[in-house]
Amino acid sequence: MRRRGGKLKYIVVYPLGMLIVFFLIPLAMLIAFSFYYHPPGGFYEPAFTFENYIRFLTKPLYLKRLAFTVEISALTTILCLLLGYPFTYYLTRIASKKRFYIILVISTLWLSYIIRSYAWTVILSKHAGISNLFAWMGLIEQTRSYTPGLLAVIIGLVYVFLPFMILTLYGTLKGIGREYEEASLNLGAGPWKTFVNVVVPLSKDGIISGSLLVFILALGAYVVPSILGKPQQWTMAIIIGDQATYESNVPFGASMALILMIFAIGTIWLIAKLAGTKSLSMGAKGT
Amino acid sequence: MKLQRTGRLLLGACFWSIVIFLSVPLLIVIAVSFTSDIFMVFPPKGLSLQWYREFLHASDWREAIRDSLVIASGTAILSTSIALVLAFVLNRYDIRFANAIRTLGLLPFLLPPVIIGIAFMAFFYSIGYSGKVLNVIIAHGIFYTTLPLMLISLGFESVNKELEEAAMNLGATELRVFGTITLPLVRNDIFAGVLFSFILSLNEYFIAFLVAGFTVTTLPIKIFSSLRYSYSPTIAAVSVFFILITTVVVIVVDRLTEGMWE
Repeated sequence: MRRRGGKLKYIVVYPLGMLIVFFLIPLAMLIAFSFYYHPPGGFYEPAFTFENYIRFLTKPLYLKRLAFTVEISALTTILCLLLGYPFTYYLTRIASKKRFYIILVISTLWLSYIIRSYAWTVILSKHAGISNLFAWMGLIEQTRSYTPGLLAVIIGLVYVFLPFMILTLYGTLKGIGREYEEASLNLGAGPWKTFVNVVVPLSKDGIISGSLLVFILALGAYVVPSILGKPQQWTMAIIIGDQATYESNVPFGASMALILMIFAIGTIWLIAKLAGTKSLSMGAKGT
Repeated sequence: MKLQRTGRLLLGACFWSIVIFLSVPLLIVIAVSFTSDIFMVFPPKGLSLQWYREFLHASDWREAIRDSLVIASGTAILSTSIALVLAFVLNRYDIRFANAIRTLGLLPFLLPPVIIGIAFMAFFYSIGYSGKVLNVIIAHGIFYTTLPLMLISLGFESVNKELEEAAMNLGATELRVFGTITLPLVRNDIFAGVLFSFILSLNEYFIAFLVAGFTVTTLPIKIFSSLRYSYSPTIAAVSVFFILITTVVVIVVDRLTEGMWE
């Protein structure tokens, strides 16, 4: 039903106005700033220069950070998929008290990245961490710290983004009727064959959405690599944040942010094109 | 049949390992928060509530709590009000560019936070108003519009339209139908939206830091800067506060929406 007449619809100016003024205009300002001039020792001056982009594209330092960010995001995505898929499969098929586990997953999902990273600094630390357990078991001779470092960053990223993968897969896997699996088993295929040839292909959309979501989130990761990593593990978001705050170079930060955004959108577009999949889902009702 | 059993066992082992992987870090933080030592050691040698006392009494932590609560409340009101009006109009009226407007509401959350953060920095510097609590509320309010919008849109879709038609045929005005029929039916979704953006804003660090990090200290900003200097167990006590409030909100939202995640 659509309402007749209706002056009430004009209240749309409130949300629309807010989104234009406080979302579209800031995005436009971001683009404008990326062409602004940053005077040495100063802040910014309106201008139209490609200097910021040229600086990014010609300095190996920055390109290396972009390459590292993409690599670690890809690795995080693969690990989340490998851990999240069997977990979610078990959750939808076998586990009782499903709601309890879903709430556990969602609660960790919304908890600040800072606290979740902090938890890992404790676990990986020299005096209070897991190395004490290893030493007690006789696996290593002396306790040691695993943070900051590459391993800590990878564990941290998988830890914070795994819940997104699980939730996206949950919607898909729950929707696959058991009769497909039963039919395959009845026709003589083993459970492993059934899993690989029936369940995995049917959940293709969920696998793609979940992987894209985790990849995009990891591309923007800031907190985890800055708490658990050394400068060698810094991601684009850290470099951008540093330029815009401590270096007072908002124009350069803006141009790098745009490059990162183009990269993110390009990836979504490419994957969606290759896989012919539907849009990203956020793991809410109906996905 | 033996193979099936092994497969099932393996799958179960994988499931339980991940349950442990997800929950143990948080349990360890909870344990550390009760330690009586000045330095963090595990297992704690003695029990004490001193870190909770410090968190609740030290003036810098109290200010951070106050700022965080003000920002999270403002965010909840702003994002849910935008989402509610937008969801209502899009669901009930034929308006031009409806799809473009919906996408505009869903887009903020899908962009990396660093983009939103720098965009707001550029915007606030340009208008010469930066570094205030209000800036963080606006940035969070826009960034977190997406989730209440999804929740409330689903709520409107599930409202039985015949009830509204009946009221209209009986002569109720548009506004009155909305106030007495529609609003009470989507009340739970609205409340879930409020709690959701409240909790997300409370936990958010990076955008708040970019927009006002040098002048406004929210709890996550305070934790982050404390982490640079020490690993004092006070941070663990603050973390327990976050773990509790986040879990409670998730459970309440789950009840309100009758299991939205299942």
